[in-house]
Amino acid sequence: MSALTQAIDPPGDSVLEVSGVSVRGQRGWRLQEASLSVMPGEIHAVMGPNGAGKSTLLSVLSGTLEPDAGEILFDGHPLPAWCPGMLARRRGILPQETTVSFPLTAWEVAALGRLPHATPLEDPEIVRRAMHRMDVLHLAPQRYSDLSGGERQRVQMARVLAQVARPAPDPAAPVLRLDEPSSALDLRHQFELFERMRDEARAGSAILVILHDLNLAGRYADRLTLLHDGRVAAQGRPRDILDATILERVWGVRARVTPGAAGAPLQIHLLGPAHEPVRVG
Amino acid sequence: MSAVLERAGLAVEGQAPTGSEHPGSRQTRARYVTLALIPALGLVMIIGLLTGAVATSPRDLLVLLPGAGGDEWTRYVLLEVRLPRVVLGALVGAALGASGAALQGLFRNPLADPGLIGVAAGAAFAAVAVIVLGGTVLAPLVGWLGMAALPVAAFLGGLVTTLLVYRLASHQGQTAVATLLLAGIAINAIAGAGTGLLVYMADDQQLRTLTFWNMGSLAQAEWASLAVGAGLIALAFLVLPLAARGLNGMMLGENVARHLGFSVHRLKLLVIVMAALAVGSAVALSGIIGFVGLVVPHILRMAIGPDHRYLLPASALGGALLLVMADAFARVVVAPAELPIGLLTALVGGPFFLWLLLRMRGRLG
Repeated sequence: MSALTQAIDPPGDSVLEVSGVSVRGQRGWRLQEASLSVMPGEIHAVMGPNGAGKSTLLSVLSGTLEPDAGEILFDGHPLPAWCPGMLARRRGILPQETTVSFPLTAWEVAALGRLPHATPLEDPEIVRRAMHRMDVLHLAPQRYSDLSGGERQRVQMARVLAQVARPAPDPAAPVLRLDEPSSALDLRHQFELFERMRDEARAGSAILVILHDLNLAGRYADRLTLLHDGRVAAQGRPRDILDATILERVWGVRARVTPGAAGAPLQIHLLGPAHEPVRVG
Repeated sequence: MSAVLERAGLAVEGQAPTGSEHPGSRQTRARYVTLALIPALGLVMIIGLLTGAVATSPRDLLVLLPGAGGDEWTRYVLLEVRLPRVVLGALVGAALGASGAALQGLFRNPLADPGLIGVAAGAAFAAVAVIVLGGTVLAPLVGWLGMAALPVAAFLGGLVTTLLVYRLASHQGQTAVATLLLAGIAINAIAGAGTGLLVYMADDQQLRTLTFWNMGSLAQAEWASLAVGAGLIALAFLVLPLAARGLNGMMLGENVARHLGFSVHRLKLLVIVMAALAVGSAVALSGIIGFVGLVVPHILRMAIGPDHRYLLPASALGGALLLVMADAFARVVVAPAELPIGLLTALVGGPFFLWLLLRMRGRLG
């Protein structure tokens, strides 16, 4: 993937740039000098144990939380300087949970992704394709509230895809920001979701995804940022940074990491909690 | 098209059916139902014109045409008694239906009825204050605003209560149903007590004006006050559709609406001010008529789905239709006397509300 990514976009051309972001909480720092960048064509995973600062980072990235220090650049411009409508056409956000307040059909939920756009003629086609890609097109006439947790998550994902889909060619890369998009999915749909994300990235999207599953991250993420106690503990390609030492330091678990030979994905076997969890900070 | 989509990052798999709407979309139905409500309202208004103590035939409607001759008495009954009343019913019903739909969208809750959450009671309190204190404490206001004093005061009363309820019931973008309804109970009680106090202070002539307020009635219809109220309600109707797309975004929650590019703050302000304007003007014209704003959007949401681009105009038309119909019924059912229309809507709306509560019981917690 990395080679392909570089072929499309040279590194350094990041569409989302987080630099030195700090957020103060009631008990110390929730996020401290966190920096990361997401480039068009890459899947960038953010991982970390509970309370590591992932949610804080996401709030800052979506503009709902003002950082105490640092800056976020979206396509080279500070996030607050963006016009909300323009941003909405370029950036799709999948929250961990979405409550729908009225009895909408699955189709209607996905179609809400087209709200920021003024392209009524192409819209049904875009919504249809987005739903097809998330394997929820057959659920279109059903009530959203009648769907299972995984089906709802896929419908929401279709909504996000529909939101950033562009009927006309557009050099500006869409950015997807996904918060645990596979948490409710069965195994097959987990893989399918990330295959679709890989297609999206190939087509030029920049994808930032919060993940808990180490093996999915090892298999699909081009780059990884590990958060621990509000700080960036490690950053780089999964095969370069995921090893037994860091898993024990960050998560307090024992694991055996088998590097995949020649392009095969990383295998991570969790063995259990570490006898003496190391707490940093 | 497909080549374009492919370049846009959407893989092409199979051909989409073109021309027909996808199952799951209710847009076509919403459009047809909304359009069909227009002639239905026209028909009900004609029925309303022909209903009453004085016998009239459809032929008599010709006297409404300009330059038509005809019987002077029939002309008076139709033009000065029934037509203003039918127009008033349509106007008030439309105001209540549309503001109910808008408030429910904003609160993300199908139980947010302008009557239940206390908006109408706040508006009524302010209107009663103008009637009772208009000659003394509030004389400068009445002198300055003239005929508009009543609807303007009702608007301000409604606005204050809507803001208050919103503050009380919303926390971090979520509206707790229980808090919303409890806040409504409290505000209804406070405004009701205030109104009661004013009624206690009122003289005999004011009392007669006030009695219709608590039960709601369309009997006060006359062209002059109707014109002022119609202007204010029309303003709300012109502005509210601007909130439709934002309210659609709000169906996925405040944060998602923000991510979809809507200014949630501006949306709230727009809906609250316009709903208060519509409800305030309606209350100033006809007192408190409950449950129209609850029943009409709910039934229409079941029929056409919750897309506010259609739900708002359809609820206005449906509210108008319901109230004109209810008023015609109220005038004949105990003829020659008439039922207060607020009584009638409560009689129908109350059980409907209980049924809604029963259905939502699991989610209320």
